[in-house]
Amino acid sequence: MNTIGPYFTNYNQFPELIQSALLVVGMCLISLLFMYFYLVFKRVIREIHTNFFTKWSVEVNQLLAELLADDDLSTKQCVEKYTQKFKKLPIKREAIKLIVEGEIVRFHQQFIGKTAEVLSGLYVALDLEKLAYKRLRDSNWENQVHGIKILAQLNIKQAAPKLVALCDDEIATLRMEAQAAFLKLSDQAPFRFLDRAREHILDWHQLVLLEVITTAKDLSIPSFSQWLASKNDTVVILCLKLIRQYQQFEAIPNLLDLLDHANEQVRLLAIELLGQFESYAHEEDLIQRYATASHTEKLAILHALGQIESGKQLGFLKTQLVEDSYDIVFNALLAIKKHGAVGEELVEQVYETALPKNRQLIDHVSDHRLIP
Amino acid sequence: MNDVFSILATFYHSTIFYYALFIMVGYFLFALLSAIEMRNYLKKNAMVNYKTILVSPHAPGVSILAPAFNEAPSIIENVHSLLSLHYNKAEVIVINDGSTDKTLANLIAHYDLEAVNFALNQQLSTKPLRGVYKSKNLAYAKLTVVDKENGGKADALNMGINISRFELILCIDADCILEHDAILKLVKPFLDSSRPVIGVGGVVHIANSCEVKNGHLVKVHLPKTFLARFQVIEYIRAFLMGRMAWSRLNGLLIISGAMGLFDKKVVIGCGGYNTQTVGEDMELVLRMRKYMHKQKKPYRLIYIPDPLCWTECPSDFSTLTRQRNRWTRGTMECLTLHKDLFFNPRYGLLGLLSYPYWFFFEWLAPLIEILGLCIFTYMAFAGFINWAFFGIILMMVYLYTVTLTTLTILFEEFSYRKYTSGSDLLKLIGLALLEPLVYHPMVLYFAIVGNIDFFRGKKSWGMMVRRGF
Repeated sequence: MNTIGPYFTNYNQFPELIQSALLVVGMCLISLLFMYFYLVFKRVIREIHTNFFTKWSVEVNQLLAELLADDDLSTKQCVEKYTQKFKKLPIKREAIKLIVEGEIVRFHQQFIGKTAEVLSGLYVALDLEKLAYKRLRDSNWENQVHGIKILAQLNIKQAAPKLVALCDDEIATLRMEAQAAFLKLSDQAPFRFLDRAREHILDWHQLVLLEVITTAKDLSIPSFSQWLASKNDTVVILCLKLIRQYQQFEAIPNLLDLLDHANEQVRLLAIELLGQFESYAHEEDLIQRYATASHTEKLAILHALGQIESGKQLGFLKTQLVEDSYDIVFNALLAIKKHGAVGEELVEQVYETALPKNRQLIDHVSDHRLIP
Repeated sequence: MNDVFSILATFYHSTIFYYALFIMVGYFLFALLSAIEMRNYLKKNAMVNYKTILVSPHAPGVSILAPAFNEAPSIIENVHSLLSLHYNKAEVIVINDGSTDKTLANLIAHYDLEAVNFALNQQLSTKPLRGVYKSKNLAYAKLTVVDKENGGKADALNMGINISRFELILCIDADCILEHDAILKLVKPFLDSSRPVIGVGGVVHIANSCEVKNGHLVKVHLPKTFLARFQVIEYIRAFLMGRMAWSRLNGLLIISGAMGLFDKKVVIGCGGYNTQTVGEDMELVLRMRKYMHKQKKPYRLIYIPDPLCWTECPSDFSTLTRQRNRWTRGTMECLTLHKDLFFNPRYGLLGLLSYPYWFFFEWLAPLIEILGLCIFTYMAFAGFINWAFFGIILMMVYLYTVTLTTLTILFEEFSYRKYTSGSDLLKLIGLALLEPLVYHPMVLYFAIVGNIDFFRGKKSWGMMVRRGF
């Protein structure tokens, strides 16, 4: 203390620069001590929490394993029987309640059919859904997302009305999870959020929705062409993906309108879909657009012509083989080859007279190891 | 005369103080930004089901580019590890950069490869292609091995880009270990941003002394050697504090060459990797950013805090010297090549903040520090130093450095917590206390030698001795 004492007693007499330095030294020392204490404290707390969790999750798991093995009872009987058993646990304690909830959700993720129904029933019978509803009302959006995820996972249909407002929330992640859950849980107009969607539905959001839509049971699929005139381009893009997924051929006339859409991604998807739907009648529309199309659109058109494989455009495709662009020649060759025996014959003819670089391209597109 | 020295001494004290204070405030702000960015990321992604990307036919395709030069002993294990990464729409392209050992022969034998007639789309100029190989075994359909003349890592990556068929390219070091879900996590920011993302990087950790089995990381340990342990601290700080903060500001100038996922169109648009620099990773990012600015397109470059890549760091002084010498020269080459960015408002944040930061703090800071020490030594011998006051300033700098490093340990502890044992935590804390005294002087030395070599025109890569994990 004798050595550092003067730094306290004479503090005011030091130059300002040294006073500031001493202040920083003091703050650093306090911060360091706090951080060391916090690190140790958190580790101890974590250890205690882990031990507690391990102890109780073993008990909960045993009961759930017993439930899984109980095949003889109906869903209702099973729920009643195990509700009683679970109520013997100190489930009123918040920590135990959370463990039970977590384990039921975890088990539910791994099962379908009757077992999943029993687990959902058990969740409701134990009044755990109140936890999820409480989270929905939380001011913290992560907690709201947590609640939504649990309700969707356990397929608690009664929760659907509570999700409506969240489907338009300004926080993107919350909005996405609410829409995904609403699709899964709502029986009435599950796609109505598409009417109101003003914000961009980002690619990730679309992936999540597509997964929910394509895997949800009992979801009535509407005609997605009704949203193709949406002012929100991302709604149009999502619907085009869904039209492809559900092979909604009746959307073809709307696809033709989209060939003039301002958004290139929309145009590309429309071309792609015309190809996938083998829209024979609209080949000419695509050819007419080809000359003024962007490079990417040209590639999409060539690809679509290959998929339509009417045979009427082989002459056009052949003219593309003299282009300088690697991509154009490559895609034109692929489109010709897709025409089956006629295409193969044309490729062989072309090979005889082709330049060495094009011969290499023909070899490339003919190799099944390179073009799966 | 004494008055002059007295004025100089006061000036020196004040300069050192204000310079240190400036850096300290800067780093404090960085720590704050990193904390915000990490918190946001963890909040947003805590409950993400990455299986959604894995199973979706709408997920973007990824070409994994792994250049290999004389890696015969480990190449099979490394490729095996890459082939087992969790991602459906992916291809693995191994580019044998004119190896003189059995790298190619081992690949051909193990993966049952045969030459194919590949029509190369030479979008980026490279050294000549010798051959492209595919496996006869359908189980390895995702694998393509490319053999080319030696041209260095950048040239090999450019060849990989020419060969690749997907829209995203994952450029990695073949000897790195990637986490199984690395691609899934790197792809997500591309899908989840309102502005187009042109590149994403993840945290690189040190793999020395970790348990590795069949090319996968099984257990994490702190390295056995002190030199490698200091680098653990250094990497955690650089990635969790530095790059996360820059990511928050959208001011990143580098995505580590060990692992980075890029938009192929932009990479090709800006001319691919520069083969004339040893800092090809940073140089590419600089050019990509300039390209986007010139196109007047909004964009994002993102770092995610997930520890996705594990690499072996130098564990002896001479290898570390060569590596750091190369890094310093790489930085200087990049800063020199793109000097037009210096406080150039046309490039926004890139010109006004990112570039000047690298210029003043990454390049000049070690030089200023060394200069300061020289002046100090002279003044000490001349009797113009107020030792007590100088000690206080040094103590302030030392404690601040330790505090900042401890804060990054705290970040690591509350995010991914890779070093789980209590003894590892204690060792990390101890290393934080020692680092400014033991390791930092070495870093200064490497910077000085790197600067000298840069001005002498040294261009070599410098051999990296790998000892295995």
